[in-house]
Amino acid sequence: MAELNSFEDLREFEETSRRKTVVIVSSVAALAVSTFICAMMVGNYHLSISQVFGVLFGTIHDDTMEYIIFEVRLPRLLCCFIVGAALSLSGLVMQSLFKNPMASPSVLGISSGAAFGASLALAFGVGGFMGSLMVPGMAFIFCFLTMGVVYMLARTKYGVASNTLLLAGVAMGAFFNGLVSLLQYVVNDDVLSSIVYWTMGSLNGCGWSSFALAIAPLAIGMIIVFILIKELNLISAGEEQAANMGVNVVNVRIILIIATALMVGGSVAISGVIGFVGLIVPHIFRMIVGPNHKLLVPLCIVGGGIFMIVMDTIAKSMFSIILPVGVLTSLIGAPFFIYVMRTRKKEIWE
Amino acid sequence: MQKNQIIVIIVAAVLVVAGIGVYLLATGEDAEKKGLYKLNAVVTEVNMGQCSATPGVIVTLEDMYEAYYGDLVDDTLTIDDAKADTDFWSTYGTWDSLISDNGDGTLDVTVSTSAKGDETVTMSVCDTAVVMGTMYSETMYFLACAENDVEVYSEESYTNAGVKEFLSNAITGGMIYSYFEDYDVEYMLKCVSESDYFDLGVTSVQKVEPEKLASALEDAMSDGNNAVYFASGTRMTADYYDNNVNPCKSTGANYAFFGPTTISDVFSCVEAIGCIMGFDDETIDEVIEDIQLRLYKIYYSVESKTSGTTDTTYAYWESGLGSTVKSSMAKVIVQYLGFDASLLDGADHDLESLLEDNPKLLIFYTNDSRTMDEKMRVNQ
Repeated sequence: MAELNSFEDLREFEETSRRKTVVIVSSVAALAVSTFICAMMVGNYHLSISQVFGVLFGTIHDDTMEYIIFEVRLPRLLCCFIVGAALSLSGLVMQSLFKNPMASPSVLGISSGAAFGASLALAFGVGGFMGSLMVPGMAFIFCFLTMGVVYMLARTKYGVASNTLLLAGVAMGAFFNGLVSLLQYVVNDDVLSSIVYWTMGSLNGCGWSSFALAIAPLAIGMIIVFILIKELNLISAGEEQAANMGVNVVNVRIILIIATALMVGGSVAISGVIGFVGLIVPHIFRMIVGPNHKLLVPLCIVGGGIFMIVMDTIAKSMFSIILPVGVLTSLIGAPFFIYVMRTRKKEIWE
Repeated sequence: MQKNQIIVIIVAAVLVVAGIGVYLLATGEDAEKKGLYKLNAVVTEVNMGQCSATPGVIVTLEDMYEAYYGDLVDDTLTIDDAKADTDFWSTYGTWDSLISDNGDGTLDVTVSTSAKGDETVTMSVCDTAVVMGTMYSETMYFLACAENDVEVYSEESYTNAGVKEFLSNAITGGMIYSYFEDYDVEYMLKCVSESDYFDLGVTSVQKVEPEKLASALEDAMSDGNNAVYFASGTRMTADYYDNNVNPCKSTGANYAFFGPTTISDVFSCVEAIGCIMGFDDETIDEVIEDIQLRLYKIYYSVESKTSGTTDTTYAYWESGLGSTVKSSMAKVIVQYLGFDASLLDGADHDLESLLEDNPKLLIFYTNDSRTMDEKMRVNQ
């Protein structure tokens, strides 16, 4: 970084940073739009590129084609985008709040809690009063419950230490995984396959109703994070410094945890458990643009959306069978997890 | 304005907008124009317990035939017509016997497991059975109905004194009783009392606890009865073989494990189970011939209705959330009815791929708790 010897240097630096922000965010946004359009061309119902554009621009009027484009592909891609955005933003918030590069919804046990909630609904109809929303509703509720329990376990009178938080998350994750295994053991084969499928994570069943279900909690969570970007920047630099700058660290942390729970709960409710998105995407952008959350937050939203669209398109189209997208993200995420563990040991253990 | 106030206002606005969106979606287009309804396929529901290699598979075949094709082409066909049709008889009419009578009161039975393949065990005719698998109980039910001259799955069969007496005396225990409640296995619920039933608490041979099995076998052998343990041989891999066989050996009970995967195997098992449980040859032959004749009527009708067609017609059989059925018997059923079974691969098929493949027959299980709109993916 160049030396700042005068006020003019500072102004020039800020102007350069602002231009860089605009360029980077615009580029990623353009990439998102082009990825979205390309993904619209890909699907298991064979439509040529000209047919897709014809339907989109209204020059082709075919009932089935319009249904595929507007009722199947479009809502699915929108769900991919918001789920990817929400999961990556959740991961970013957790990593920044607790200053641990390994933190993510799956590592903190939230996904396991959500999986248990959904498994209860599938196995015994718990939450039946929610009707067709029984499974996503139970996943959402247990997501919140798990987040709360993990936080309470990790909290001490001196605050929340990141290692304690991770350990609490691992413990709760193991606990809920054990409960899911117990359910899988006692249920019949057909229920077992439903539980296993749900815990793998998939966007195959996502349509406009899924989008409508998830958009409210996801949007609320993202908006809260946006509003608290400055506070997040200060907290990630150090809680004492943040407090000295006038940030109510405890309140902000609680609000951000609630926002994270909303985003993860909303995602899990429509897509099941999709792991490692919250780990991979924030790290990629942190390596490109650094730790400033004014850049990281919009980039994680857009980048997470791009990542999920690409993964889902590969999962549904690249192989002879349709893979659950959660399987793919885990296969990619695990090696990345190991890479982060090995290259950022100092940050993890400090 | 305070940040907290901004957050609350934005949250309220988002909730209002989302609520309007959900309301508009809920009152939107007619459900029957969406999802799998767009296929205009025939939709049928089948009983899961009658979709494996059991005598009840004939009911499934008849129901599915009727749902898709309608009436049989010729309901007056006889067993002699079936035997005269060499194409049919050579594939579906013959079977390999799993049992031979030694003439000294003992039987040599060929049992089959994944652990050890085919083995021959020698046993006497048995009075009681511990049953891990509805294939065995259903076969005994069919035989008891034939012996007492009542129609299977009829109300009369559930109240017939002879059928009830046989089943309640013969089936002394086995798989978890609640399975019969969950899957509406009426002949068990109405003929075998839960209080007299030794519940092993499991649904699979892989979960059998040896001590509990030994107790169940001793209970079956009380009053000097000759007992047999029936279980699925397909799932009996090396890890589970000893847990299932050693209790039999230690108590002196017999064991018989079969793994039928084809229609011909059904006949083999009917014969073997019938002989083991002491049914006479006439009764056994009656059950087998009845199934063969009903099969032939369907075969004849399908052949008549599909002759000359060259298009591939798919059937799609969903077992629940995210997966299709992939058992070999399910494929046999679907192919028997003239459909291509390629979609029965156990994998998830998204809506687009199903609209592309355009299956003409959609099959779900009767115990699938989802609503029909959910099964037909209306809200996707």
